[in-house]
Amino acid sequence: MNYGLHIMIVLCIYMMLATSLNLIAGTLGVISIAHAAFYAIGAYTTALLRTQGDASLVAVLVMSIITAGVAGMALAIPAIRLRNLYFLIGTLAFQILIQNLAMNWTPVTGGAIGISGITPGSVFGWRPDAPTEFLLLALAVLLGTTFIVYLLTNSPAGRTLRAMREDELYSASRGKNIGRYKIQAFSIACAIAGLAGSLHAQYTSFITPTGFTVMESVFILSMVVLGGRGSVWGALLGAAVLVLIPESLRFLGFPTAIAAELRMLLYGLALVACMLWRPQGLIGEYAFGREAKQK
Amino acid sequence: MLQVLVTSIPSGAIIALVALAFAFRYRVFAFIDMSLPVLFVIAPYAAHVCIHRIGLALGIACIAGIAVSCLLAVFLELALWKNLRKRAPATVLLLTSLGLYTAMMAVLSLAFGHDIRSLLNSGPRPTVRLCAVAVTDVQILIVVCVAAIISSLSWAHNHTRFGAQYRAMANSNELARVSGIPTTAREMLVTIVSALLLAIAGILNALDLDLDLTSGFQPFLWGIVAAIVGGFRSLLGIAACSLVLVAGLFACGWYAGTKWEDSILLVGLVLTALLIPRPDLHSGGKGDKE
Repeated sequence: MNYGLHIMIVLCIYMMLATSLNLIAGTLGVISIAHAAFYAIGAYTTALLRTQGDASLVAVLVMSIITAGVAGMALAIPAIRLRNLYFLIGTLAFQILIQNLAMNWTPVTGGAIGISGITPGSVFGWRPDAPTEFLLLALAVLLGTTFIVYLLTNSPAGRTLRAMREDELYSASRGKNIGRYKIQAFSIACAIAGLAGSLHAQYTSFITPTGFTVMESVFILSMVVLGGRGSVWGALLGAAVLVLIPESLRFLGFPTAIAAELRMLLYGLALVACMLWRPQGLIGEYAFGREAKQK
Repeated sequence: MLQVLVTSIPSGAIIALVALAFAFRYRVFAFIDMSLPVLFVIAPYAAHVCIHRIGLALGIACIAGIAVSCLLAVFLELALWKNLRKRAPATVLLLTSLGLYTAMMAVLSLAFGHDIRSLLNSGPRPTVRLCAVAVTDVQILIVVCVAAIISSLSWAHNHTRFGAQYRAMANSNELARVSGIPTTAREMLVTIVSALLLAIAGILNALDLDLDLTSGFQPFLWGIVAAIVGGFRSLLGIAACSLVLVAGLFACGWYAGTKWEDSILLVGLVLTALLIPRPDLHSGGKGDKE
């Protein structure tokens, strides 16, 4: 029972990460591999607020959103000047920078040991200590963020983002402020990643830098690509597939020591297979492969 | 401090090889191949297997390691990249390479585990003292090998038929093909040269330092930075930039602590990318082939 609840909570967190990254990689059409960095910023903000003081649940969630959103804006402002592939290198640089800070800024982040003893905050006397209660909280936050992303992608602003993805020059010629739209979309996506990080820290009660590496960013990106870039439902499906299928390896009798490697092998192969045979993902709207080239 | 700067030369030389391998491939194929660190890592691991399981001598094992790396590159070119490049834009190629890197590192991890290994016997290496600076025999070997390789590559790039064809393909692959250059064969040659450079860099790195699975990613990252800052068109520029970059990093590490080296490097990269006006870096330029 508890194992099932644990998987559901982890799934909710990854679904939030995938839907938020989908806003950047799918709707906006630029690839970022810094999403785990914003996830880390949210997690560390929560960890510091909860271990150094007794901030309420709402306060930690809001502060995690703000810090990750501001960090996202700080990265986006210079990075949007870079071309597609160099934008990716810029985000990779930011990811490694945050990873280094988490690993080496020991007085604040606890270094390699990380921060432990993070308890969930309370709101109106309710504290989601039990897995069932935390699942309710995670589900509520997931529904809220998915609804916001869905509304955003189907709003005039979302259509503008998609138009920019297809032809940036055309969008600019229509009088759209491309830079402002990009910064806003990037900041919102990063803020949601920070929110997911906050939930992760409060749920696991222990965070270390190893949970927020480049590979974690690749993992989140794999979810978006597998599910389908540009589709909110695709991101949710991608997260479900990549969280649930590797979990099934546990029941096939593989030793725990090799389970992590098998999981990474599966993610890598899923990404390659998806790019080879279905570049638009399982239910994606945006084809980067043959179809895109034929346009 | 002088010792730190001298020690940075072999490390910079290895980064130069990685940067050249990356740039050599990038100029023709126009996408960032994130799976290249695997070619850097697999060569010393194959050499390690040849030494400790088959019992080959070090030199032969190193050649075997380099051969394994090149064969893997050729296999990937034939089985994957050759067809995928024809129909997919740079983004798809990049994501595929990212998946390939993740999958192949998982396979290597399953095969070799996470133990740190060494190609040479552990223990202090014989050193030579040059003006109050100690240098090991391996470090001298690295500098000599890399200098010879870069000189040969630069000469081949500027004075041979292959070099001319390569430059034509780097400018426009399509135009080169129409002009009668056998682009498919030359692309295979570019793949092999790039893998060769990475494999040699991996072997030299493993001779100087310990060998572990994650040792490929950092040199690759530093190599990308050196190639971007040095400019893709100049092989000697990339090599010089690698040396200066690593010397600067080692000097910063000397004052601020080695743990901040990557952070300093990446902040430097972002500042360089933003402050130096380069059409291939910024929006609106001609560098994007997608």
